[in-house]
Amino acid sequence: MEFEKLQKIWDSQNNKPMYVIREEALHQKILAKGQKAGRTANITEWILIFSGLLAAGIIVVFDLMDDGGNAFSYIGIFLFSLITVYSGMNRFLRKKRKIDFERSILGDLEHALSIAQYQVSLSKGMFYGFWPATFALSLLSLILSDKPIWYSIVFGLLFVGVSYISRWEHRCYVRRRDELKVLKKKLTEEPQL
Amino acid sequence: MDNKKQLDIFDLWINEFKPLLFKVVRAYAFTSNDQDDLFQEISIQIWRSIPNFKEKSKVSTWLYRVALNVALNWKRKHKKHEEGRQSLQHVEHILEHSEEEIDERLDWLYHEITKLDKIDRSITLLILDGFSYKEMAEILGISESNIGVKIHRIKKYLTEQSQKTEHHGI
Repeated sequence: MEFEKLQKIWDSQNNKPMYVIREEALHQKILAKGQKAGRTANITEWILIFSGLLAAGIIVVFDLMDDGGNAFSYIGIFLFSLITVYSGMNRFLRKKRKIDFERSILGDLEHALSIAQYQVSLSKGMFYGFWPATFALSLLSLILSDKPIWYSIVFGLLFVGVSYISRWEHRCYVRRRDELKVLKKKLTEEPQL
Repeated sequence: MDNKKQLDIFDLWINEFKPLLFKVVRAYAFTSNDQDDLFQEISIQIWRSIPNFKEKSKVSTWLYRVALNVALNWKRKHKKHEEGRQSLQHVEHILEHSEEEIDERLDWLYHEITKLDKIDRSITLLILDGFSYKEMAEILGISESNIGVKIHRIKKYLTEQSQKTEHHGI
C-alpha cells in the first residue's frame, strides 16, 4: 500500500471521531486535578519550611536556652534556617514561574532535563554533604552538652532514617533524569538509512 | 485573561480539534482508563497553555505540540503506576467510544504506530496529518534534515508493513 493511501485511511477518522467527550465531567475533573496538584506542592513546601524552623527552634530551646549551647549549636541553627529560607525561595519562584509553551518538544525536554539535573545535584549534595555535616555537628553539640546518651542514640537513628530516604530520593531523580536523556537521544539522533 | 474567556477558548479548541487529540490519545494509551487519564492530562495542559498562545503558529500546530509533549511525559511516568491505575476501573469516564463503525484498516494502522518508539510515534502522527517539514521541525525542535531522515525510515516501515498485511487479506 502506498503511503498516500495510508494517509487517506488516517484522514477518514477526521469526520467520525472515535470518542465522545462528556464535557461536564471534563470541566469538573480539570478543575479538581489542577487544585490537587497545587495543594500537593503547597503541602510539601510548608512541611519543609516548618521542619527547618522546628529543628532550628529545638536547638534554640533545648540547647541554647538550656545551657548556653556551643559553636555547633549555632552552625546547626544556621543550617536548618537555610533549609527554611531555601524552601521559601523555591515556593516564591514556583508561584512566580509561568509555564512557557512557546518552546518546542526538544526545548521542553531540555528544560525538563536541566531541572532533573539540578535536582540530582541537589539531592547528591544533600545526601553526601548537607545531611552528614548537619548531623555530625548536631551530634557533637549533643555530646559536648552533657545530655543523656539516649539523646545521641535517638539522633543517630534519625540520621540513619533520613539518609535512607535521602538516598531513595536521589535514586528517583537519577532515574528520572536518565529517562529524559534517553528521550532526548531518540529525538535528536540521526537515524541510519 | 479572565476565566470566562479562557473557558470559551478551551471549549472551542476541544470541540474543533478533538480528532487531533484523540489521535494522540489512541497512539499512546491503550486501555479505557489510560485513554481517559491521558486525555485529562492533555486537556489540563491545553487549559494552562491558553494564556501563552500568541498566535505565532496555527492552533493545530500548538495543540499537537502540547498534546505530544504531555503524551511523552505521561508515558514515562505511567510505567511506574500501571498497576495502581487498575483500581480506577469503575470511575466515571470522560471519553466514551462513539457508535461510529470502526474501520479495520485504521485499527491496523494504529496497531503499527504503537509498535514504534515514543518519538517515532509523534513524528508518524504529524506526517499522517500532513504537517510540513518546517512545521514538524517547529513542533519537535529538531532540524528539518533530521526529520527528513526519520520520515523516510518511518514511511518505508509503514508501507512495508502494509504490503505484508495486504498479503494476508486486509
